[in-house]
Amino acid sequence: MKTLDLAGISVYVERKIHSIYEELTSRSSKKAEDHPFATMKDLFMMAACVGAQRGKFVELGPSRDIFSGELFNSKTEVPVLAALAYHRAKDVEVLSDPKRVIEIAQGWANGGIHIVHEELLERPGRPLYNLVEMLLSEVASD
Amino acid sequence: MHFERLEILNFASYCGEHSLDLDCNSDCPVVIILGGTGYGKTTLFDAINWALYGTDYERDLVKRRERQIIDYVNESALRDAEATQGFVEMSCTLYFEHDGVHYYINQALVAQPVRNNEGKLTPMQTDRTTALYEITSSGDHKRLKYDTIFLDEILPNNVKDYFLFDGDRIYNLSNPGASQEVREAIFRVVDLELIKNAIGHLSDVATEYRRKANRESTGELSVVEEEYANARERLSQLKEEEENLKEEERAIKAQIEALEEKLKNLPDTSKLQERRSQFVQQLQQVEAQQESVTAEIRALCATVALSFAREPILTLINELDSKRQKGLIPKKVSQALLKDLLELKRCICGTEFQEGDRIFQALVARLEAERAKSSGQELLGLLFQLGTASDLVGEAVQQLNRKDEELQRLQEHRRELDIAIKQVDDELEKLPKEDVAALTSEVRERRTAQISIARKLQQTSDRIAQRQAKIKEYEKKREILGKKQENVRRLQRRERLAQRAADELEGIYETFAEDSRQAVEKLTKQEFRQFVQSASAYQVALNEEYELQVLDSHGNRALQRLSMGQSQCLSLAFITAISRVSEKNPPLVIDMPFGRLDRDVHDEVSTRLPEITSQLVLFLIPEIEWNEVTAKNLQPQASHIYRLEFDKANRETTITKL
Repeated sequence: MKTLDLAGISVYVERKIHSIYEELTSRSSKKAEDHPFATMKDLFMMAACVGAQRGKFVELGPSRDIFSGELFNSKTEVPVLAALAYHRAKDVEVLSDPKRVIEIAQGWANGGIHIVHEELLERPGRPLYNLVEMLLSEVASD
Repeated sequence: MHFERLEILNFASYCGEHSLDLDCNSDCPVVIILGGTGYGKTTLFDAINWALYGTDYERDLVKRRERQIIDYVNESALRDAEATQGFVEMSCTLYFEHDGVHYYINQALVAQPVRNNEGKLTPMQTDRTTALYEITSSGDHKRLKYDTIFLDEILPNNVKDYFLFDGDRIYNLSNPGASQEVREAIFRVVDLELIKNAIGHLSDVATEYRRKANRESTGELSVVEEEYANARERLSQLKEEEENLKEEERAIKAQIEALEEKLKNLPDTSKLQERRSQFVQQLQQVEAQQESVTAEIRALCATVALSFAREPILTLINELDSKRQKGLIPKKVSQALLKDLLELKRCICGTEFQEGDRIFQALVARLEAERAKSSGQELLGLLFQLGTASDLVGEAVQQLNRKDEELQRLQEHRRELDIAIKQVDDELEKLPKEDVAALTSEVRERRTAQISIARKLQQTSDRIAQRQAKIKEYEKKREILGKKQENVRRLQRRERLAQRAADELEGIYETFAEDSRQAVEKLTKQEFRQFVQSASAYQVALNEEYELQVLDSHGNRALQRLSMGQSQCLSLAFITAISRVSEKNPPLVIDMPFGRLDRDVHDEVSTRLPEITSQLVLFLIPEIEWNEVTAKNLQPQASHIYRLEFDKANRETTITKL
């Protein structure tokens, strides 16, 4: 069921933080320990969720597209993006506007990416293990 | 290429003129030259090589046999020249046919006899010539320019070792630690060097255009052009560094293997070495498992990361549910939701059902009733999806916990294995035999160096990735700014074209290298079975590191279990394979091919050898190599058989045709 059709909508990040996306991403599984995300989309989702959780919404400055909306998983990521959009707009009407949903996610991701960067790269230990620790302590606090 | 005749004059133990007919036909492709040790077989082998490669081969002689070509001047001829106060001429002439054209190459040297301080008679070179001729169909001898370009077309010097070789040297190819040589053999024989040269040339062209664009650009573009050129320069330096490090890594790995092989063969160490090998094997398995679990963890993390949105998800679920309860969302269920529920076999309340049962039938009936209705009920669908998403995230959390524990267990196991290996190394170092201790410590040093190189490699590869990203940014900038300066834009276009062609070729190079490796591996397997049927239990492989491997039926390494003869057959199988992959099909000239072979494989090898090439020249030792078994197989296939006779008193060789 496609509540939100995000196909064909490009997802943007700020130019100046694109290097963070590159630093944390690699398709190669051999590099998983140092590049904890297989795709930029995975990192974008994490950054958006963290941004929303910490209440950090930052509008995008000069930006560049990094992937297209059809890459979002319809069972998990699309409903989460809807929740993130509602979290910001506080109005279900926003859910009928896929572009706006993406824009809001971009703002959350723009706020969250620095937190992700700090947690994964500025702490001792390899980035993937820092990510696992961060996630497991987050779910444990639930 | 097909050899026709070899003529030699005053060459080493051959006084005066001698001639060998090497021509043969496809029914009898073999030429056999028989001679005892020291009778002049290797001299003839040198004569063919010198005739073909002249000064290049003279350099090889110094390296391989510590001899200068002038040392080959025949002693008797030199004495005669001294008596007559004349000069002595030494020469080798090889007649051959290539692509239907007949040629000959003549290498000649004139020497004057002189007495050194100790009164010993020695030759002093006074003249040296090389001449290449084509014999035209009318019988004229047309002089051609002798250069490497001509021979590169036929049989380049850097691949000749794989077609003109001695038995001892060929045995080395299957030795542990020979991967570098095996790799070079494939790369050279299948002309991968040509592609490398083309890449270099195109890169130079691109660099030149970058320089020009840099010179002609002005303002901001000039800054970008300079930064771009520097980034490209740095990238090619980094790639070179990476290539060198890979080479170094391969060399160290080969050294470690060779040292380990030595250690295995030393008494007192075999049990410890075996224990070590087992630990290393286990370690490799654990590392592979670790890599796979790490990849799974990474995939799970992507889903678990969504749990940071727990609060927004709950808020939206509550909001939608409250709207539904208040009737703000129509109670009618959308068709899409019904279809999803039917597909998932799960009711919105979470109850699972089967096709045909009560819930299923109720949902189908509702779906049919709703068919005609089409209002936007997506919100209710979303409510369902949010629940599903939460469940999936929850499942991923549980899996992540399990995988994390598994990874920790593997890491612990890996640490234990590391300690166990270190303990074995310590025990090996403590062994009283000095050579064992020295070898073990050498191996340890190499392993440390290997780790350090791997780290440098990782660092370099990261830098390459960063530089490539930077280059992409510069490319965009220069394209935008270049629009304002037409002359620079033109140069940029040319630069881009050359660079892209070089990059494309780089990709082709990698693919071609890998294809060639696979083709050589396949043929080596086939040939090895043909050569040694008794070794059919073994499986041959040429792995990605270009190691010739032999595996037993359990998949364990078994190279050291092969007899010396079987190892040589493996090398021969490899040579045959690269010859066939290269499609060069030059003559095979082998000095003492059976020297190291057990008698029991003489039969198989002597049957197979004439089948692998259209011209085979063999230098054999009577009795040892030329025995009733090899004679039975080779004689019917031989166009010519020569026997070398050696006069010990005069130190002279004569050739007799049998």
